[in-house]
Amino acid sequence: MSTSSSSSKKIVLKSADNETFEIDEIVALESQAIKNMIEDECADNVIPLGNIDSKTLSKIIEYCKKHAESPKKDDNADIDEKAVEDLKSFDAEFAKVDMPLIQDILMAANFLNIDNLIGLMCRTIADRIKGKTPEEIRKILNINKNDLLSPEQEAKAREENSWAFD
Amino acid sequence: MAMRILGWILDDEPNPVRVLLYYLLFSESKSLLVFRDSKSYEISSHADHLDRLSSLPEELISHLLSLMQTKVAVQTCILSKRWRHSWTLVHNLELNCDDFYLFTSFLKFVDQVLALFKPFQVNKIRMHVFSFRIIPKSIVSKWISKALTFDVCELDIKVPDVELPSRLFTCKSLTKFRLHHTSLYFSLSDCVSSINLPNLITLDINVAYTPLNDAFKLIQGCPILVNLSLKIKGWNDKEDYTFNIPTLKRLKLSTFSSSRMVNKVILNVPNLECLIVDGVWFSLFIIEDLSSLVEANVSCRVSHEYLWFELLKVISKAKFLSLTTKCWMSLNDQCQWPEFPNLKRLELQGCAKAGRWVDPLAIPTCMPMKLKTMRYSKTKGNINDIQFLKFILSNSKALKTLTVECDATLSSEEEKQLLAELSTLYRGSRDCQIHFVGSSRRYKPRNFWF
Repeated sequence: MSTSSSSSKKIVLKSADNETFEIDEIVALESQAIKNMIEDECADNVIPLGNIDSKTLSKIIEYCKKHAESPKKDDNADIDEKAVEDLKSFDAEFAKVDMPLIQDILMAANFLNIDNLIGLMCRTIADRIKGKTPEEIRKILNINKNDLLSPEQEAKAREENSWAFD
Repeated sequence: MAMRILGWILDDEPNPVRVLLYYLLFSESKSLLVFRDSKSYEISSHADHLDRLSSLPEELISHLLSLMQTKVAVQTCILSKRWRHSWTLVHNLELNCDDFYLFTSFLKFVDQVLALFKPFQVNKIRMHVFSFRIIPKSIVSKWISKALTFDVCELDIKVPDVELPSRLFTCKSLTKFRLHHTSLYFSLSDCVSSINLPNLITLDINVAYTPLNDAFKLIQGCPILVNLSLKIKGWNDKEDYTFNIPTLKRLKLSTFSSSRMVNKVILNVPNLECLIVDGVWFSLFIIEDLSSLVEANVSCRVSHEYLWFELLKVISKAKFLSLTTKCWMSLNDQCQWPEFPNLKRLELQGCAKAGRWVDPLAIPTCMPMKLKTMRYSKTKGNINDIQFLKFILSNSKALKTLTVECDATLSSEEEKQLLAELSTLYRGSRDCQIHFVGSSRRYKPRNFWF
């Protein structure tokens, strides 16, 4: 990765609520979708992200910045080890947000194609619903009441998959 | 115009292009396109939208479910309509008999999962069955055969006993294979004539007693093997074996045996970068040419002291060395320490009472210029520990950090004394800092730099 030329170049992202964020190209490259746009030379001006609000976008930029700055695998494993630890604790702190924001970040990360962030958000959700009852999970995930199964449908689902409820 | 585009987007069944277009065009209006199942969808206004998670693409839901135990993933079928069949698309299966009270329930569960599951792609299938359970070999064999029909990449099996289906040995999709079994014999069925796993990168197997030949045939059938973990629980073979694995980068050897070794295993692994050894080290393995070695982690015991120095010679080119064994110091004064020309980071454990430190006549070549970081753990601060640390501190001109961790059994007084002794030692490197970590058992362990 060439750092000298890319660190000086800037990319502007625009959120759904029309806020603009100027970031280093190297930070934007954490997103595979933006990387493709840049490589295809269709990212000259501002990149509009009409489905990501500024709150979500600023969180995502915070994540990409940290991950772009973090030293990649290096000859000196001492630095490497520290950096890995540092990144781990950053990720743990980063994920300490409420469920609606986690879900917004996950959607946006999926749209922008940021693999590590998708993984982190999915792991966070999986951890939060681990060992919980269906009722608790519905509440945590804020599952819409209109989408619930009727008591008959739920009984049928349990019956069909009874081998998993033993 | 807008209505015509909308019409086109919603005209047919959803596909990624349509979904993306939808997002780009309508995301600012804050309405959401919601897929009820693969064929029907609806637009709901913001006021009436479903939960955010349910509007995620199917891949994300299956990614999320793939992180859970499969039993829990199946149980999400009752959460809502959206989640009703999502589990069938997971790309990892975690089939663990610990999750079931009755063993027969587990058998039924695995059968059902393998029958109903219809993934786009399968990354990993893990099947763990407790060792004391009696499970017929034919059942496990049937499960593995079924798993292979999904073009699985990683297969991780832990069962009491197994008869591997022959199609496993020519599986093209397999990149990682782990097989741990508790039976004493590992043998391939007679119908396995040739083994060719062209894409296998990681192999992790255990071997117990004869015939080892079969297990070793597996290794030889992997042309691009990069990681190998071999656990040998028993050994009374008389044959010699030679492995030429030029692709191998990482090797873990765990040997446990009480029987006398009469044969040799010669490992020709010129590109090995990482060697891990635990258990007991015997004269069994002869490792030639480790000039590419970067890292070695050794936590084994040795049956004879001379073997320890032979092993050290083998790993002496490493940059990072971790020797977490109590018996690394010699018992006699005339030991021959090898040169460590590249050593940058060293991890050691405090020595056992029987060990004895005598300053070597020649200073290892790494110490003046290369050694930067050292960790000395579980120390009780005995005289040999202090003598050794004194030698290291005075001769390592490039040392930046020495971390000394106290053994959990050390009293507060003993800790203080160790600290006092350390602080008087001369440091050959001006930048060297000592990081002192007190016993982790204490409520507030001492932890500081000086």
